[in-house]
Amino acid sequence: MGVDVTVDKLKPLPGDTPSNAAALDKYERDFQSHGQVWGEILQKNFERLSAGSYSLQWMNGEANGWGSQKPKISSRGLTYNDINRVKGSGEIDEVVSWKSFAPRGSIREPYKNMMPVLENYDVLHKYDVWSDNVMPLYEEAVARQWSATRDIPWDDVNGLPEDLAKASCQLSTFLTEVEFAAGDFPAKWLYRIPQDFLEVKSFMATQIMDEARHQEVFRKRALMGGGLMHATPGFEWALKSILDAPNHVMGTFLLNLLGEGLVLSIFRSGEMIAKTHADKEIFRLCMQDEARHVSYGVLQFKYFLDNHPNRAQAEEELHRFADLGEQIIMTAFSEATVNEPVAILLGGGLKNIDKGMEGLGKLWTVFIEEYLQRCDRAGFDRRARCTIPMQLPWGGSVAA
Amino acid sequence: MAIVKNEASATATPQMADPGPVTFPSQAWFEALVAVMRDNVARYKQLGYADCVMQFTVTDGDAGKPWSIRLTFDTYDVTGITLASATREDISDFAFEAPLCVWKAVIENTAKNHGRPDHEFTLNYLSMREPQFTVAAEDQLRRDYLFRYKQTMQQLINDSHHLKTEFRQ
Repeated sequence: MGVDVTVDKLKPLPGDTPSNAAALDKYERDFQSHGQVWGEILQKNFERLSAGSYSLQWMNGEANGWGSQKPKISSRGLTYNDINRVKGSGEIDEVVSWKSFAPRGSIREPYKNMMPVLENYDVLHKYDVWSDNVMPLYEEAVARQWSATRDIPWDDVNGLPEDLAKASCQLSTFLTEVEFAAGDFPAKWLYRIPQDFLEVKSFMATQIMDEARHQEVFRKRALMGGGLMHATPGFEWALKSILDAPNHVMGTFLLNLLGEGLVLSIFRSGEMIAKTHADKEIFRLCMQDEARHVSYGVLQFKYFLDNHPNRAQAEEELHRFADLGEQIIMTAFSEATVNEPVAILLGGGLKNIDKGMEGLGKLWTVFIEEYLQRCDRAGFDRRARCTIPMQLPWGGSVAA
Repeated sequence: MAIVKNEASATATPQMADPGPVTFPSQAWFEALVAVMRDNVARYKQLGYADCVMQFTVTDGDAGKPWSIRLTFDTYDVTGITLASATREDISDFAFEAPLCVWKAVIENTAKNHGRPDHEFTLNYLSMREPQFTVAAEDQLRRDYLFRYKQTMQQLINDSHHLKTEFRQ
């Protein structure tokens, strides 16, 4: 059988393939530098196994009271809260010294000198990550997961007039752009937070999953409604600013409390102005996820301020950061790709965009008041220093 | 009691005994609503649990004076239904406050659409229509409970279409 090869079917030759050799060299050197520990572990175990004996030393659980306590199962099942009542399991140090994977509450002290030290675990103060609602929020997140594939009546999104269809797709494109950054931020910090803060890490993992699903649902919404539309440079800069935040607390303020607080408002507006049941369902489901992230942000911020050894200094630094953060968010929301589709959807069509912008102006005031109330709840008084105007900065309506 | 449609349908018909007409607002109406909720528990489990204490207030529901009831949500159930002071009680996380004409329109629209109310009758839409419909809370964190449990709250209201509601004049 002849091979059917013609010029138009030829593919270009592969370019230079990136080499992993240098990275592999380093990995090998690192391995060799710990050769003594590897060798000791292997030799000890090999000798014992060769002698046909068992250790069974791990069966001694007296050091942490194995078997003396059993968690009590609550009405919703066995929660983190339930297991943290077991002595030795729930105590969390104010400053964590363990930089390994060894579980909090396990018998780990005897092995300390044989364990690797994970230097990237450098967020060691509890006040930098903890919030008093983080455990119930984690459980709630697990209980309220949903599926963008299964739970949205996707056959319901068509049939909109072109202006509303395009506005819906632009809003969905913008939200697709936003959502993964909201996942990247906790992902960036997750590997810097030690295992002893396991509840925080667990919650952050749910936030990453939530944001993945939001990105998925808005991407699907745009493609079901006609296609993805325009990216938004102003928001790109805002998202980068979140990722570049100087520390976890400041980034959490900018993302969870301020940014997601406003995105929560967009979801509420989105549900209000949705023209289809599918859109309503999307915004409702995203709203509940977003509200969890905001709740973590508010109480994390509060925990930080309440427990910082120098509250006045911490507050002043946070004010300095908030001065910038508010300008970052306001600049992002000034983008036409964000506020114009919302105005068109609010007004009910392109011909009513001025009316929609007036409606957006009223909502803006609500959004900012809610932001300030969240700051109040965290014990952070921004009212006198807030740099975002209570009125929509570009007025209720804009001349076309 | 079993659900007639699939086990987690948003609009499934519970196979409960017909309680007959119930008057809104009244404790009996909310007890009947919670009975429907319990028949539809698979749907509430699918939505995930809710833990909060909230109030429904009819601002002119008691011969022109405010009427209020407090519901305690625990996991997939409502474990407490008690008449409450119409002034906001600090034990509640948040309260829906609206006049009878608004509640009547919501319940009638939900019934007419078999548990899928038109857009302008959903809790979220109404919550952005202050002062006609108010979500009252001591602070924003408690107010945010509504957004965390919105699906559950909306499902509860949607389930009211199974009731034969009469309205107090």
